[in-house]
Amino acid sequence: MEVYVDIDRCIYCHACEVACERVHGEARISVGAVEERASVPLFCHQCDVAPCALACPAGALVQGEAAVSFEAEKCTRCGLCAISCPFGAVYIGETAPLQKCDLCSEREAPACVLTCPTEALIWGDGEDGAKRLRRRAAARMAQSCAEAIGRGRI
Amino acid sequence: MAEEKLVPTVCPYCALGCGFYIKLKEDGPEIEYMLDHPTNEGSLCAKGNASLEVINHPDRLRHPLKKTEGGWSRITWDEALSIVAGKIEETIKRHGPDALGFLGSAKSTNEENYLFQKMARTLGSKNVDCCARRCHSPTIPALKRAFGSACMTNPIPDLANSDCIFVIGSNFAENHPIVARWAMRTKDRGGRIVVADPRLTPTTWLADLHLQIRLGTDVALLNGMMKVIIDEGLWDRKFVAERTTGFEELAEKVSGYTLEKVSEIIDAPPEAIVKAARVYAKSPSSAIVYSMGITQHSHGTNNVSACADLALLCGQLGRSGAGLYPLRGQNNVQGACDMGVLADFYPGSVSVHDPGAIRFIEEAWGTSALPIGMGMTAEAMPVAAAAGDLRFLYIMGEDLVNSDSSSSRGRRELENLDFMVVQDIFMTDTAEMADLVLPAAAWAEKEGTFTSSERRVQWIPRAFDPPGEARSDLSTILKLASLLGLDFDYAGPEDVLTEIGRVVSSYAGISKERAEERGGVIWPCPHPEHPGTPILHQEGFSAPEGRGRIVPMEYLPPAEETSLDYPLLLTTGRVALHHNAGSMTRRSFSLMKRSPELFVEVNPQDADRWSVIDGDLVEVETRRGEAWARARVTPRQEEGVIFMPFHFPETNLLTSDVIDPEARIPEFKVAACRIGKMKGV
Amino acid sequence: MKEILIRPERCMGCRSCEIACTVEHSRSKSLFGAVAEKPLPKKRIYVEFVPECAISVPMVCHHCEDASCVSVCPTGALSQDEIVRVVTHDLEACIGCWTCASVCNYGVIGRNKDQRVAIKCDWCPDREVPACVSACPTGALVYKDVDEFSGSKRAVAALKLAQGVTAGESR
Repeated sequence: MEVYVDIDRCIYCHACEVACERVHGEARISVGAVEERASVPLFCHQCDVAPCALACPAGALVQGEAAVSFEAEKCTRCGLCAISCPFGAVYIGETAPLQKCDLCSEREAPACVLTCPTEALIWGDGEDGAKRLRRRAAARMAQSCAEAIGRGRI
Repeated sequence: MAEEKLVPTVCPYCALGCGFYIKLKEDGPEIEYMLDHPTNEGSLCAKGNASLEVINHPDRLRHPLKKTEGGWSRITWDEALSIVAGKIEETIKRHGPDALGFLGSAKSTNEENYLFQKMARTLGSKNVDCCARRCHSPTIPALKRAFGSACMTNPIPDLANSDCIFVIGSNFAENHPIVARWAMRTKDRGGRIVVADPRLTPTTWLADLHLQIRLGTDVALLNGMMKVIIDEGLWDRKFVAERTTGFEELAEKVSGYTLEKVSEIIDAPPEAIVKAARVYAKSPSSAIVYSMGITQHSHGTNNVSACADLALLCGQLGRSGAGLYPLRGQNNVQGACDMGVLADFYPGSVSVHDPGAIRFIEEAWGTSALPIGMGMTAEAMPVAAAAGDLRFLYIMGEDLVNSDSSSSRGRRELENLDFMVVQDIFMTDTAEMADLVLPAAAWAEKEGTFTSSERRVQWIPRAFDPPGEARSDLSTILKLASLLGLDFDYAGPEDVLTEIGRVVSSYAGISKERAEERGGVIWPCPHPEHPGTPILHQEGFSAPEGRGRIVPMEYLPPAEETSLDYPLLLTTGRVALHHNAGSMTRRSFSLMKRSPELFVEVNPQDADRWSVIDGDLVEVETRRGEAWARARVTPRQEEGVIFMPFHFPETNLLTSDVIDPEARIPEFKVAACRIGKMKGV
Repeated sequence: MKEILIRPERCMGCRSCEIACTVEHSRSKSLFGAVAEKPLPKKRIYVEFVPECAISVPMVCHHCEDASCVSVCPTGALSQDEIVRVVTHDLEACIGCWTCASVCNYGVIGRNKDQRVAIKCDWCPDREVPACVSACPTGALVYKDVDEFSGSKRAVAALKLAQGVTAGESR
């Protein structure tokens, strides 16, 4: 299980940021707007072959089956992980040695997912996100097709 | 492990009535999501997530304070209330009860608001009003005329069943993010979203079609759309014939709104108007969502009427997926209106001009000679204070000074009062002006019911003790009433709710037990077995003969136009991270961190012309005042328009004080202005 | 240049395309072999039934001209051939971050859990016509040049019109 994003749904409301900050003291997710036309939540993707875990010389970041875990006592705050992460989702924190999403391991589902007003963040298997996008695209195609052949919606 | 307790509650910010739990633990309270709440399914916006930050805030008022020569001095509750009671009696004796003014609060519970207006009216004062005057007051007369009842017709989750959502004058993605959840479900099903808004906002990101119209031209657009619908025969003939009146007048009125003319007025391509009209009229069920962009105009009532006309014309009412959604702003603004905290209505929408109906309330209250006739509105009170007609003002939980338009005038006028008492949770700018300040309990520190925008009445239990000596508004009102010799005999909010059920027919079946259930009850709920009425107007309208009234409207331009001296138009609105006058959100650390100061959004072309660079401090000036704000150069609005959020006190120094003649709402949305860079910086 | 185009009105939701795709991307390339393979081969085409319209839509990678999956890929694992437009996926470079899957508007980038990489349509490089198109019994999937596709639609429309005209005349 991991956090997946449906970018079209993000409305730049910052709810995930504030929720993450509430739970962890510092926000590990951030939302950026792009040219006032869209916004994107940026967070740890828990990559399956994670560059941060490959880069970590101290073995503090460990590649797991579904997530990349962090062991604080091993961390030397060298910052290699922050450099290697393609999403800028790992950073040296103020209140903790390293700020990286832990998928709210002590909760049933991450706070950012539960709080997201538009369900732009999806908690699920990697396929769930794609499935949702696919359903939506299919619904639109089917509708225009139905209109074209004069069937209309049922 | 220490004991943990989950207390259900309703979010104190906007009017959607989202539920969540407060988890009480030894190391402080925490928010837990309420996944089975019907409106929000657990999700919360940024403000909801930060709501507990105001509970134990160091700025909270903890003791009654009295203004003296040397500043504020702490007094006891007994002293404070006897001063207030003394002032009220003195004012009545010297100037009569109409010199008393009472402003209720859309943040207090139904029970508190009910008692507040009951106290005011039993004392003989007509002057009761609340902040609904500044948000949805046009909705009330316009929808009452059209449908017979003035509220949201369908619940928010029902938006997911629409095939077309027509959004006009609402930026719900920022201001009511949970609405976007349901709008997105519509899109998932292949439904379409049409947005008419002068600005590019996150709501327009969701739109399949965005009409970037000129400020304040909503009636022209709606009339243009209705003409297209009539010309192309897309209107609902059966619905119009069986359930409405006034179609002929409408057809005649809109016949003058040709595409060319409308397109020129609204500054959007004619094809877009046709497309919007077709998709709204042809979709099996279409909803209209509107908000302050429609109401905060000098012709706000006309705007709302035109929206209602469109819905009536196309028969998009009284069933799932259709309807009209006025999105309201405060957690209990619907409740405050239902409780009659309005200058023109007694509880249960009984008109102040209807002696017969008022007689019924007199009987219920065991009194006689309740005042008849229109009282002073929130906008009229400062004016009356300046004229010496209003001597005493009791403000319960409202920052009048910062939320009033053209606020420096209001501030000057209020100084004329003999006595002003403010009951609030923080020392707001209004409280600073008062003679006496009473500390109040915040939402989770008391119990009672709140009515959300979708008419959902929900009971919240008490989760915390109020800080210091702060008290709930209810206990303050009860104490004060007994000092004034009024016969207010209630053991607690539950008793008051029972009385509300007797006076307000749509609340008759609502008890504490029912309102405590998850999701509460949606009124009208006329008897205890009634399940509540999520969708209104299914059988007929509550207007005379059960017919909806189509009232054609003429387009009127906004009151202020640009001139050589003031070449730009200023519009105001909200941002995702703040709420209304900001007395709560501006004290919330995690929100302030993300949106720390007042800004003004300027189009790049205008920025070039007035040599404004992104990040500059600029001066914005209107005929009423000037304010400093940080410039944000962005193409979010069209050339010639600048935007400022109204969460910071400076914005309302600038806004226009022209008011809608019927609803008496000021035109917050359009003011002519000019900008310039700060000199010497 | 040919590509896979869809005609949802012809799709009857039989899912033959899904099976053909899975078989084509198996090691054995036969139905019986594919079922026995470990790990199981995965499909790259998905038939979605839309109940509101009672229409099924086969969803498959469109190899978009300005493909968002390619532009967001942080490691360059996804790349697009400039001439034939096919979007290809380099398994070695993929770090399994699923950003491509997030941005694909059609939701047709899947996930290979065992190899920890993304999978997507490759227009069956070993075949003349992609397997899904060959398998489609109703012609809901076609492998054609876009111009040619519209041309054939025009021909059908013209035929219908002509039939109508002749029917009208004979009456």
